[in-house]
Amino acid sequence: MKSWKQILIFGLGLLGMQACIDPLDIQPEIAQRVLVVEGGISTAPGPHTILISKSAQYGSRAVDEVKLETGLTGWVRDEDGNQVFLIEQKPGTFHTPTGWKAEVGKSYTLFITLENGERFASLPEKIVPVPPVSEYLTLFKEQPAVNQFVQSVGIEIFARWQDPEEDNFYIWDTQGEYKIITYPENHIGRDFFGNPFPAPLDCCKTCYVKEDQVNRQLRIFKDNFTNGNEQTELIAYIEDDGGRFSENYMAVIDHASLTKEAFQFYDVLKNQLSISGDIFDPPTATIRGNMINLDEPESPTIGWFRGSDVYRDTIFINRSVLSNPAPPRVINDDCRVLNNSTTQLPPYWPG
Amino acid sequence: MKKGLFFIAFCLGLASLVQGQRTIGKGDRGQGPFNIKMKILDRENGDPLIGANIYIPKNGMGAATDINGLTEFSLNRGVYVLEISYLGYESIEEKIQVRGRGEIVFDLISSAQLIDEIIVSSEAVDRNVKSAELGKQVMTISTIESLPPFVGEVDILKSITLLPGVSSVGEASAGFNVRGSNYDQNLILLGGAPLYNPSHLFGFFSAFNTELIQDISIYKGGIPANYGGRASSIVDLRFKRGSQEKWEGKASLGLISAKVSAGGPVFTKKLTAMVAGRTSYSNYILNAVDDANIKNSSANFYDVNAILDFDITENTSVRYSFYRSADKFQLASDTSFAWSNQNHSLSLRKNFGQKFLIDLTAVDANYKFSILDDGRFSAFNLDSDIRDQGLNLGFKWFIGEKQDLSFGAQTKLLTLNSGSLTPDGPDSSIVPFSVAEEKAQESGVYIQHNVEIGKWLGLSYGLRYNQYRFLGPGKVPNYLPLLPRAAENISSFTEFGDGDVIEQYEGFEPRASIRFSFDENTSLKLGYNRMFQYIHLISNTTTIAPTDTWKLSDSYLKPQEVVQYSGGLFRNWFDNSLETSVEVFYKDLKNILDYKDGATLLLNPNLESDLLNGEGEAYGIEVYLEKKKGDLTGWISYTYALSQRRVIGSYPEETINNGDWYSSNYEKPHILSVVGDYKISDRVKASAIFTYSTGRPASYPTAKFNYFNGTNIGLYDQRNGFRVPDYHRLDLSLTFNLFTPYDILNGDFVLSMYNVYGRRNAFSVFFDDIVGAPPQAFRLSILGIPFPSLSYKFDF
Repeated sequence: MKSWKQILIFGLGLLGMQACIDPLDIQPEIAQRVLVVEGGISTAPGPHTILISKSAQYGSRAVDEVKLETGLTGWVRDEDGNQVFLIEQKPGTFHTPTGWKAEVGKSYTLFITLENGERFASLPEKIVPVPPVSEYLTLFKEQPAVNQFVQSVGIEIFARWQDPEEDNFYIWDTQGEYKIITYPENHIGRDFFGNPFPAPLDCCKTCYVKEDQVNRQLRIFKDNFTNGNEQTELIAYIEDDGGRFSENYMAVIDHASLTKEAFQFYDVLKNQLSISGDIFDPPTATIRGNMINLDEPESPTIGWFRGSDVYRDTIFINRSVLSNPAPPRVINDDCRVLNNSTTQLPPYWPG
Repeated sequence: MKKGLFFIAFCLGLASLVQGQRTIGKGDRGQGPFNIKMKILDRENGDPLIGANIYIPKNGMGAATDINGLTEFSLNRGVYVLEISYLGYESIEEKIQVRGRGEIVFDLISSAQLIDEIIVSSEAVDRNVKSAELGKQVMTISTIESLPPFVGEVDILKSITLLPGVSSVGEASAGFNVRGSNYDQNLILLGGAPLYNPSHLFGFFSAFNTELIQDISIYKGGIPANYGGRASSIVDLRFKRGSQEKWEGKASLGLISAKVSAGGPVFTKKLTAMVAGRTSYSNYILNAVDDANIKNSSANFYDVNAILDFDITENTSVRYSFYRSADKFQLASDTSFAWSNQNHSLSLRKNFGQKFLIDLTAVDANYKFSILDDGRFSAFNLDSDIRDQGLNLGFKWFIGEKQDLSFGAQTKLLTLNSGSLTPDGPDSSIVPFSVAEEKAQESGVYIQHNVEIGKWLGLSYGLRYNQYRFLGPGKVPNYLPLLPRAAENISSFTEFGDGDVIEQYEGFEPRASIRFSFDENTSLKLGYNRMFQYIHLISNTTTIAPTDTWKLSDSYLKPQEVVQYSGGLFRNWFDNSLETSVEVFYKDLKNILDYKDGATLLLNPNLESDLLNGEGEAYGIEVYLEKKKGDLTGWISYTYALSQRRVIGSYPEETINNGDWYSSNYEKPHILSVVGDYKISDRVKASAIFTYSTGRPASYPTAKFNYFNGTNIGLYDQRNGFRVPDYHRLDLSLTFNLFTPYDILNGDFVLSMYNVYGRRNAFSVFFDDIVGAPPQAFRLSILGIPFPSLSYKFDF
């Protein structure tokens, strides 16, 4: 369902009324740094990623920058007292050991001791089971737009499953990978004065690009209006940017469970992400989480240490599904300049 | 000699004709006093005008006409100048010569018939000073129609935001806020029936046709006791009556809509009809566009009215009115929204002699709202509606020239379906679900006494007693003690049968205002009123959205209560041609609604678990200056007001802004409106509006953090701690009245320009993390350029 706000703006456009956006110079107040935790553990084999940082004053990097935590000690403990330690991959990014996985029905707690000695712990997070997906459907979608030249087209992925009788809460994470072909032979160089000149490159023309999170919006769902039914839900929209669907697009979908409390957190977060400061917005919410500062329990923290049961699947979407694909994206460069790209053919890539 | 006398008489008669002087009496003996009866009629249809004012400056006497349009004076022999005025009619001055007892009839012309008129007036030119009413303002349709229109449409509700103490949150906002109160605290009565959604097309237009409206009374304070049910203000829109003489009508064409109205006698003068319709033709525009998405979209609205008046006898009349408005908006292949209002009203009015009047009115108001989502696997219909069926019995006793007494009883049955969800199509996995229907009876009895004590003191006071009963069937959840009110903390349910009283609230609402006059032109007024509200708009957006629903007070949701203290100094200058006032007010608000973070407002069977009760206060000063006569007329209004809220609960999730006071969404401390209308010639006039206000409150992030794919997200720890940039705008219009041999061309062309200097007022201030730019604030302006329009209206 489109939000009322989007429809209003669209309607104004239809009526020939002009909307314009310009930046405003607003200087927010200086705020205290607050611990931020994102990610968690699941029943899929590890490593599982947990991001730990401290908030910063709102504004550009020149104003302040989010502080990625490093040198901390973190561990996850289950209800039986078993624990695994977090391994720092890079500043702000921590992994559970490879192969380790959580168990359905058990509760887990995250403990963190920062380099400066601050201690935090999560509330126990129980792993609730998720029903398996019986089928994935892929449908071509043209997003309505006033201006057809900026119209978005892409693929909607729907998951179909039998929802159990009890209240269930779901979240989907979708990672992607696609093959892209660029044109290094048409590369254009720039001289000292910025003038273009032909500078063909020898390599590389074909790459495989990974995307950590395909969805541009949080995909969460609760079954209060569909409880117990066979459920078909939109779980991802993959926009055709002219490059993603040159051949096949591989989507790795985590169909995961949430506790009710975790769902409420993500719901508030989703609401926050949709706020645009206009008169149809709900008021801003205070984002709380399940992390507690053990030394100062009243001080705020942000984020949710999540525990999910995961049903993971991989699907390939062929270009033929797109009935009206976007114009090809022409990149006159070495394909390796693209983020997360490699020339190595993944072993799982179809013929 | 006879010839001489005849000549003198002829000369006197001629002189009186030249001077417009009319003679009363046949030359009774003595100097008087003589009893003079005066009757005021509508020139167009001959109807008596009730409450028309006649003022005789020579001896400071004044009186209002009774239910037959009559009043009496005791005057000595001599020549007098009368000032006669009536709401919605052109005021006149008449010179009379009294020679004995007798009768005289005056007729007034409706303002709506005058192409060159511009007045914003109280009911009499000096009523603002001489009545005890406080916080009341009257706007005539002719005033509203003289304001610069937007896309060819003048708008009633937008116009009243130009008055002091009335504001809106910005463009595309449907509601209005009166003296720091929420928009659901305004009772909008259209022909006596309540209107639950007063807007068309996203709030750009009011949902009623100006051609049918006689006048608009806005009560910001000092609300008479016959009004109840809402806590802040009353906007009472009265319908016109069709002409008794002949059928006549009006039509106008704008950029996106057209309207027409006609009225006249049906078979006999005793039965008159008035009908009107308005429709948008934006769908035709959309269909003309090549883009399939736009072609398959729709944005449409219409409204229709019918009013029948029947004079059964000279003293008994019946009025029936019907009103329907509907809106539908659909984006191609996506969700569609539709809402409609449908009201019926039937009233019987009977006069007993000239002193007593009974009015019995039955109303049936129905507001419906629906969302249709045609998403393939989750397609649904969501319907909700409100039914408001009421019966009002009112008596008015005109005790004398100086006082009247009103009393009566009112009752209404409110039925709410807050949401009914059904799957749409075989592929939909939606399970049918309905929030339990709510039902309540709201009743009240009232008495209101208006009295003038001598020349310098006036009182208007009343008392209203309300009884509200929330009725079964119903299932009331019982929550575990010492735990937050949440669905998982429900311990049991208490069941109630059909018609059982689940919860009952009652209370007295005293209303009073008093006037002290210092002289003929200056008065001081003080007022107090208390009001309860039992129906609440469930909306956590700043303005009305069609997705909003309503809820009745129940065991958990207490009635809202507003107590208002107000005062004002009023002075008229230069023979009432310049009106000035300064008013102050303080409001104490109890049981105001707010919402928990992440509250589910639609289809929530335990809505009370997401609602919060808070308190509020609003106070301010309003300054008003109006020039009422001359080629240049208009007004300047300035308001300084604050509107604060506080919500403190037992648990962190039940507390807002850490329990500190915060600005309401619509607090705009400084509001300035300047409205001018200049008569360039008999056939050309120019109008202008300039409005300025402090930006509305908004919450700005104090910190950023990375979440969900590294997106910079704002951390908000203060509710409404900042403000969007200030709002200001200038609108201009030119009206040309054409006179040609062809009737169809004899109308008004109105050329208008909205936002003349292209101010980019902020519809939205949002914070975004755009690739290639730092996370920062952006302003979205939806009408950021000058927007011209042309409309044409004509009589037939």
